[in-house]
Amino acid sequence: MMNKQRNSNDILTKPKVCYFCLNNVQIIDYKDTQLLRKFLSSYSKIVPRKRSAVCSAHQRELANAIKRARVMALLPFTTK
Amino acid sequence: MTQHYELLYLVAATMTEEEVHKVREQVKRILTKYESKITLEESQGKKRLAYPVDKNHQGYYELLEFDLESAKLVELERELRLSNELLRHIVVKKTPKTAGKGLLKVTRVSAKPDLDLANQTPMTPKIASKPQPTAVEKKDDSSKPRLKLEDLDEKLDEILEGDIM
Repeated sequence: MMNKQRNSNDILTKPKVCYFCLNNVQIIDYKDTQLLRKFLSSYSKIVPRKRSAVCSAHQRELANAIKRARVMALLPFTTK
Repeated sequence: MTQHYELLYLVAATMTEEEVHKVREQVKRILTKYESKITLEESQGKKRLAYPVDKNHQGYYELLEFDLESAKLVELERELRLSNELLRHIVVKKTPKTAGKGLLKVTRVSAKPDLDLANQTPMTPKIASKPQPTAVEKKDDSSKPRLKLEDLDEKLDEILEGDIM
């Protein structure tokens, strides 16, 4: 039952592999706004792991990087 | 203990190139005052700010890397905070120096091949049971929609990014 559901969702969901593990990124640079923007929602909120499939260790680093970027006005705190 | 740090600071774009140069010199003077060794200097140029800072919509980003006695950092930060020319600044510990790359890049290498395997494993039993040519055809068929989906995801991301801007 669970398996069936998961298969039907496969079409909609991205492969469940952390972007940073996949690309072998150890340190997430807060200055790389192009990359960080991929992990912001349309309201500039940090995208939850559930949606972005980032592993917990990298999500923590990512959140820190985004927050640093926000302080430096590289990324917005909110949009609208 | 000496540590390697990275300093990024923001200067208002209302200043002229010349004034920014002066600020740059001033910051460097502060750094040398605390006996730091500057290893990298980089102007990131004029950028649009994500939100207005003191009614400035644009600013110059300047990047510095340096070695500093960690006990002196508090004083240094205080001085930077007090200088009126800097709209924002941030000092961050930098583990691998930008000059000496490839120190930490060895550990996890095989993430990508693993993913490919995961994609292919559901297919393998079918290939084994059927004659080879059809199996190859099937493999091609299945790989195409997957690629398209990835493209779709990318497009979606682009659209979403567009919304943010």
